Amino acid sequence: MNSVSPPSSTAAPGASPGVGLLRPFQAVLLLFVVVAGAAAFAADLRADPAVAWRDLLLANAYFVGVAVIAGLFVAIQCVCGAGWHTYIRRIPEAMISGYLPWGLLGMLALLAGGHSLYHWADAEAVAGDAVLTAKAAFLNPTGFAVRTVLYFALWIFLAGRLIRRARAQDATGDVAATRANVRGAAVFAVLFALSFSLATVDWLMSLEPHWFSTIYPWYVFSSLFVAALCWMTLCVLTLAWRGLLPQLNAWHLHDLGKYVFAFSMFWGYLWLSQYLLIWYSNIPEETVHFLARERTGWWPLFLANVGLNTALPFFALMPAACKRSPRVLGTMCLVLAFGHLLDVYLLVMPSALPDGPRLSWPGVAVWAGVAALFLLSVDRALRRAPLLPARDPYLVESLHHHGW
Amino acid sequence: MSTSYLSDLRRPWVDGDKSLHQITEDVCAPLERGPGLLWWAGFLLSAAVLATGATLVTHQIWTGIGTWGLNRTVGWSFDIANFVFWVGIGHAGTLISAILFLFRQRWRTSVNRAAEAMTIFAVMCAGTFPLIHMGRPWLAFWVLPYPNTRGTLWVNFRSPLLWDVFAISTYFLVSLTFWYIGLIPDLATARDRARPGLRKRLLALAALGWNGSHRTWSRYEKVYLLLAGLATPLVFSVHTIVSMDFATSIVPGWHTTIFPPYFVCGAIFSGFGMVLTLMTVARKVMHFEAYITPRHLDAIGKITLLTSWIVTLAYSTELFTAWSSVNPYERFAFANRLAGPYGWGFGVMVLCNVLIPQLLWSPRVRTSAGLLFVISIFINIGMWFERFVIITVSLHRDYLPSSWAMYAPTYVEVGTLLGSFGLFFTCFFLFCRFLPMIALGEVKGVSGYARKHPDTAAAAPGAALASPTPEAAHAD
Repeated sequence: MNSVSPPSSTAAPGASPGVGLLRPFQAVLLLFVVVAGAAAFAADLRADPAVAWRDLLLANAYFVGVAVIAGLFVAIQCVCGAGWHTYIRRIPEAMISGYLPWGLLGMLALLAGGHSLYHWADAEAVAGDAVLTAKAAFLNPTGFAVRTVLYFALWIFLAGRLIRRARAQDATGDVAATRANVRGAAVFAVLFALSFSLATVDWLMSLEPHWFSTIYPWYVFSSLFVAALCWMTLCVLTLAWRGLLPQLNAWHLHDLGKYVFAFSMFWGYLWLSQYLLIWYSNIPEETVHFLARERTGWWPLFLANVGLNTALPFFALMPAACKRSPRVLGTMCLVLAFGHLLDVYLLVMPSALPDGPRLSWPGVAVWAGVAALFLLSVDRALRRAPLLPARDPYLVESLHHHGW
Repeated sequence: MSTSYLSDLRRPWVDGDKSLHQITEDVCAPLERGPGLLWWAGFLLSAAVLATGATLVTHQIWTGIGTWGLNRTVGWSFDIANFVFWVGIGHAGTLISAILFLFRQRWRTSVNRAAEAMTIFAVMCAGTFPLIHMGRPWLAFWVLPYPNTRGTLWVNFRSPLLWDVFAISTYFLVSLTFWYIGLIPDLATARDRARPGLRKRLLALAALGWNGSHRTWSRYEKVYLLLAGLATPLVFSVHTIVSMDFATSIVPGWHTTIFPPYFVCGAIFSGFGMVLTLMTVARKVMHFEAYITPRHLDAIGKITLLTSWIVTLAYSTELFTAWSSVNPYERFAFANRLAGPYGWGFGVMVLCNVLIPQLLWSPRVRTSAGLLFVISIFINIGMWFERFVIITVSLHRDYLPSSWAMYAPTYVEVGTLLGSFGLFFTCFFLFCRFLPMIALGEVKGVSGYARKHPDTAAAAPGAALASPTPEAAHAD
C-alpha cells in the first residue's frame, strides 16, 4: 500500500552528508564559549575549589543525563514500534552519540576534585565517621571511577549498536534492522535503568553522604527526562527554522509537547512523593536534606523550582494549541531546560554553600561552556549521517503523521 | 484521505478478514444465544465461593475482629494485604482504557471493555475489606466528613486512610462512568438486535436513546477523550495514596520515599497479571480468538515484562538503600525480610515477580495463551505475597524485641480472601453473559475492513477527538 522508499525530494540514502545544527559562525562562537568556560573553571578552581568542582559536576551531570536519556527516548520508541518520531529520530541519536565521550571525560575529571567535591573521598574524614566507614565498600574513589567508566561503556556500546543498525538501514533498507533494534532497545532500557540509578547515587546523592532517599534515582531521572525532551525539541525547532525539516508538522510538535507536559507532571509527582513522605514522617536523618533548602537562603529557589517545573507547564502546555505552536512550545522548552538545570543546581550546590545561593559568573561561564560543548558535539554527530532515516519502514507514517 | 500511510509492518488487529456485520454478530452472539454449560459451571462455582465468604464475614461481624489472627504487634495483615491487592488489580483496566488510549495503542480496543469491568469489580472487592475491618460496618458513614452530632468526633484530614476514602471513591465513580459511556453505543446495538420484551426495554433504557448519528458520535468521542484525560492521573493517585497508608509512618520497611511510584507500577503489574488470566481464558471460552489475537497477548506480555522490571528495580533500590543508609533499623528490617521467619514469603515474591516473568522475553512465550495463563497465575500469587511481605513482615519484629510476634491467618481470614475472589468472578461471569465483552465500535475501527475502506468504515473512536482540526478526523 505504501513504499518505504524515500520521498523524491530527498537525496539518495548515504549520498548526502548530514546537515548540522549550527551555522559556521555559530559554531565558532560556541567554540569561544567553550574556551571561556574552561578559563573560568581554571580561575574559579583557585578561588573556590568546592564551588568550582560543583559547577563542573552540575553542568556535566545535567548534559550526560540529557544525552543518555535522549538515547533512552529512541530506545523507548523502538520497543513500542512507534512510527511518529522517525522523521526526527536522528536528533536524539546525535545527542547521545555526540556528547557521551565528553561526558565521560568530565566525570573522570571530578576525581581530581577529591574531597573538595565529595566528603567521602577524604580518607581522614571517613576514618572518623562511622557511617562513612560502613559505606566505604561502595563510596570510594576507585569504585567511583570504575563504576563511572562502566556506566559510560555500557551506554556507549548499547546505544551505539542501535544507532549503527539504524544507519546501516539507510543503505540496505533491511527491515530486520528494525526488528533487531527492538530487542537491542529493550536490553538498553533495562540496563539503563539499573546503571542510571546507581550513577545518580554515585554522582549526586553522595554529595550528602549521610542522607538517603529511595526515590532519588527516579527523581533525577524524571528531571533530566524533561530536560532531554526540551533540548531535543529545541534542536528540532532549530532545524525546522533553518528549513531542514520541511515535512515537520503540527502533530510532531503536539506529540513532543505531550511528552514534555506528561513528564513535567511526572516530575512534580515524584517531587511531591519525596517531599510529602519525608515531611510527614519527620525523621531527622531524612529531613536534613530539606532543612538545608528550606531554613536557608535556598528557600526562594526551592519554591521557584516547583512552580517553574510543574505549575507553569501545567497551564502553559495544557491547551493543544500551545503544544502545536512552535513559538509557545519552544519558549516552554527553553524555560524548562533551565528549570531542570535549577533542579539539579538545588541538588548539587547547597552542600557547598549552606547559607544560600551565590551567583558566580565563573559558574555561569562553566555551565555555558559545557552547554556549548554539548551543542557542538551534537552538531558534529548530526553531520555524520543523513538527517532523514530514508529507508526506515516507519518513515512514511512519520512523514504523514496526523495524530492517530 | 483515502490513502493509508500505515507502515507495512503493522497488521490489522482483527484476524480472519471479517466484515463489520460479522464483527457485530460475533460479539453479540454470547449475549443472544444464552449461557452454555461452561458458563453455568463457572458462575455457580464463583457464586458458591462468594456465599462461603459472605457466611464467614457474617460470622466475623457477629463475633468480632477477634476471629482473625491479629495480635498486638501485627495489627494489620491479611485484610489490608487483600485490600491493596485488589485495588492494584484494578489499575491495569484504567491503564488500558485511559493511558493506552492517549498513547494511541490501538490493540487496546479488544480488551479495554473487559479490563475496565475488571477494574470496577476489583475496586468493589477492595472496598469490602476496609468495611469489614471496621468491625462495625454499619457505622461506615462516619468516614464521610459532614457536620454531625457526634461532638468532636470528626474525620482526620491528615490521615492517608481518609485520603484513601476520597481517592478510591473518586476512582470508582470515574471508572464506572468511563466504562458506562463506552458501553452506550454497544448497548444500542444490542437493543436494536433484541426481540421485543423486557430485555429490549432494559437495553433501551441503558442505551440512553443513542441514535448513532454523526453528531452523537462526535460528542461521544469528545467525552471519551476528556474522561481518558481525567482517568489518567487517577491511575497514579489511587495507589500513591494506598502506598502512603504505609509510607507516612516511621516503620522501617514501610517508610520509604520510593513507595508511591513503586506501588503504582506494582499495581499495574499485578493488574496485567489478572488481565492475562482473564483474557487467555475468555478468548477461548467465548470464542474470541480472532479478536484477542496472539499479537494482543504479545503486547500485554510486553507491558507485564516492563512493569516486572520496574518492580525489580524498586526491590533492588530498597535493598541497596537499606544497606547504604547504615541505619541499623532499616538494615534489620530488610535482613529480616530476606532471612527472617517469613523469608520464604520474600522468596515466593522474588520468584513470582522477578524470575518467572523473565520468560516473557521470549516472543514464543508471549504469544502462547497456555504459558501466559500459567505465568499470570504466578504473578497473581507473587503480587499478593509482595503486599503480605511489606505489611506483615515489617510489623512483626518492631523496635522492641520483647514485643516480637508471629502472625498466621485464621480460616475466617482465608475464607474472606476466597470470598472476594468469588465476588470478583461472579461479577465477571455476569458481565460476560449480559454485556458485550468487546467494544464493538472501537474494534471495527482497527479491523482489516476498516484498513481497506478508510472512507466508509467508521474511524476508531478517538480518531476524530485526538485531532483538534476536523480534516484529520478521517485519519486512516
